Amino acid sequence: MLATVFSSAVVGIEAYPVDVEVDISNGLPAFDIVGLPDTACRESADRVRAALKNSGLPFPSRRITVNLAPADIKKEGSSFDLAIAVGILAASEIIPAEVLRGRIFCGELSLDGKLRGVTGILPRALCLAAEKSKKAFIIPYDNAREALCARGVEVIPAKTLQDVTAFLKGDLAIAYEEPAQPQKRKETKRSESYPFDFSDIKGQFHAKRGLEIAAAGNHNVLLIGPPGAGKTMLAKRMPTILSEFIFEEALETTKIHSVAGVLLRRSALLEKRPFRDPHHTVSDAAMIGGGSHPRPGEVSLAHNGVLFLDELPEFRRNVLEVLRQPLEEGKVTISRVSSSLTFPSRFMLVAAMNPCPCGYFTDPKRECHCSTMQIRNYMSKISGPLLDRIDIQLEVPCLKVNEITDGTCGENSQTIRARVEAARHRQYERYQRDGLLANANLEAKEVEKHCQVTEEAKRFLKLAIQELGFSARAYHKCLKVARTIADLEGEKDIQAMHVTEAIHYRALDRNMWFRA
Amino acid sequence: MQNASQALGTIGEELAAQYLSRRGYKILLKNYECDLGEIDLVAKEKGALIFIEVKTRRSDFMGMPAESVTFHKRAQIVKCAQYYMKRYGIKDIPCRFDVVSILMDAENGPLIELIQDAFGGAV
Repeated sequence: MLATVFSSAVVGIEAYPVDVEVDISNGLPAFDIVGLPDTACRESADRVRAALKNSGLPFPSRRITVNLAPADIKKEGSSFDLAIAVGILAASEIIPAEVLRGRIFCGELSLDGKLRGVTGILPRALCLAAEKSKKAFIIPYDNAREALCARGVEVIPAKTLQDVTAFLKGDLAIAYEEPAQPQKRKETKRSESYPFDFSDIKGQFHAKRGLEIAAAGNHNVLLIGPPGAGKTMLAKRMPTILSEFIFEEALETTKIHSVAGVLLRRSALLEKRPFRDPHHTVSDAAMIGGGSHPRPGEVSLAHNGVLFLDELPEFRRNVLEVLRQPLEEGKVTISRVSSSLTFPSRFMLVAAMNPCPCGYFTDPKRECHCSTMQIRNYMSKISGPLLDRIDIQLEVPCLKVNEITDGTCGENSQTIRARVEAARHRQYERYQRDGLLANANLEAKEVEKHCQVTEEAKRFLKLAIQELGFSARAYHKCLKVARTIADLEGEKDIQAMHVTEAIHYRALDRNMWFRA
Repeated sequence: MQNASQALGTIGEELAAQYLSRRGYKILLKNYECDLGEIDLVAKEKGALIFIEVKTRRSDFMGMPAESVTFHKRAQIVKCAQYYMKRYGIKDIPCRFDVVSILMDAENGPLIELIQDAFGGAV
């Protein structure tokens, strides 16, 4: 007796269909799973056996062979449990084989027959939606909200194996019902969902302005300053001024989070842009993604959001250098012997660092004990190519006495965010046809097209290239930042004042800190 | 000559055979031996071929009898069963491995427990 159940698996962040074939024959009792299963997948035999027995369903004491087709792609994880259990029920004629047609099964079984949530449900649902085959997607209840993000897929969320069996026999109707309480969550404003606000920070208006520009144009930022100046505090408040997710962005980011298994249980589409702050001991594989079944790394988890690297020079050199491709191209390709995968990684880099090993090089009050050599060594940990990719370099000086005691706090996050949203909106409209989202993602050709500068501004730029030794990339970056500043002001063309401000944000090109 | 534990085993197998007959098993063979080992009882029940291991103990001081059917012992029984089926050309019939655990209690008489489908046929 043979039964075929339809399921799916995920490679990278894309899903592909998998047929689970279950054959039950006479002979010495055995339970074999073939089709390149990994350990978690192979152990599903024991879970399925116990789950069936504890659900009051018979487990045939015969020779069971399960094939996961296509058999030449490695299968991983526990998401085939449900499909295998249903296949055994169909092959032992407890449920009719016809009911399996047009239905996709995914889910992990616990020993008592309950269905547990699995990772990568959203890519699977999107794959189904793209097929337009109107297949029903039978999944654990915990994954229901995630699956429903894919429009046009019939989702059947089940809580137990018994429910699935009853549903397949036609004894039980299952439909998703939103739990009663989340009604309230919709009403709470986004700003209230953060425990902190930009108005917590006194002074630092220059840095705040820089971060506002960065948020508006998705530019990379570097914050340099002595310890205690508020670099980390500023960076941590970055999410509060970021623009709202648009649907496509949210879908893409949620997909990556779903595959990486960092989505919260029973969560739907991400509402906030991600903010990832890996510790500086992070490995290069954890940063860009990797493993024999490649998983997305921090750069991909920060897709459409912020990647915050605190104490930048403390990161291992190879970890910083692997950031070059994702910073430039907005995607990262991971090649292994078995496969080569591409993950999207269009993130905004926010980095913070001290100007020297002791930290007080630029501090007016405390003396710096570092030698020129030490400072040069410290700075050389961050390579030129990496620095060149950072559009906005901000100095965050120590606060003065009266700024600390009675300084003004400035605007709150909500006010800043309103301006950022407006600037973002202008960009969406301008780049709609090019499929771009923000100024920072402009390619060289598009820079020429969209960044029209006045004659006066042109003169300034020429001067900057001559005097400050801008690279071609630095020139383009400068133009993009100027474009964002003009967008914030609502100007169509880039004026001289926008260009000067943009040039001013490239602090490290001004040959400070003994850079050769 | 049998030693004490062998004698106990023989008594246990006899008890198990009687017990299983009462439960509707048809005993085909007792003490099937081959080069790979031995199977205590081979029986038929409802069209299925059943290989039975009988374990007898005097007390549960060293654990219940069934606990002593270790991985090694299971592997030996499975191999033996494979040989048996090949030798007699038995194909396409449902098979099963059962364990009968007998505790010879001096006061209350023997305590017999049947564990159906005790283990699988994969080695």
